[in-house]
Amino acid sequence: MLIGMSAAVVQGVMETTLDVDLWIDLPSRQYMRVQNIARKAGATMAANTVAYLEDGIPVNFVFKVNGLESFEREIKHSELLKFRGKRIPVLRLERILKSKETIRRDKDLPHIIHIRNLLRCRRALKSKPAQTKR
Amino acid sequence: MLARLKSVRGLTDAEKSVYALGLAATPEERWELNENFIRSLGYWKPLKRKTSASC
Repeated sequence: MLIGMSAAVVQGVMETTLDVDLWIDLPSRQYMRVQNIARKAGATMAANTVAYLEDGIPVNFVFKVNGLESFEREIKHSELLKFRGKRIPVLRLERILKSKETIRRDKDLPHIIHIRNLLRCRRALKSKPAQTKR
Repeated sequence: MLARLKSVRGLTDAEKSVYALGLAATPEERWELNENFIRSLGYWKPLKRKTSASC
């Protein structure tokens, strides 16, 4: 499942991120399974949980996310979105916000503001459906 | 899109136009914007394939 700022970006947060975070539904001791899949896909491993795709994009494999519940529960708060040509589960903005509000690293603070603002804008859109011309 | 955000309080028009752009784009377009920006800064260079020595 796509999480973190890469997940926020594909949902409309106009921020930038330097890597892709993928939450893997496996115990962390099984990181080798993920590494093998990544290698088969042409990626180069830079660390146990960090791979570089052939086009240079770094991918972090995450096995536990602070501030959130289990993968099994959180996947229910995801939606399938198209990312790099494939439809994959993407964690909803509300849950990304919750995780960032819990962790509150310095770098999370501007992200929290942007996510909150985007959610406000989304709510405004829902309350004001687009007018169709007659 | 931007017109529908007019009523949102606490954001300048410039900020609203940024959020409107984000909301109007498709997920793939949004990722492309990020990717193009990061690549324009010189990050995410494609990996060079190791070439095996030929005899």
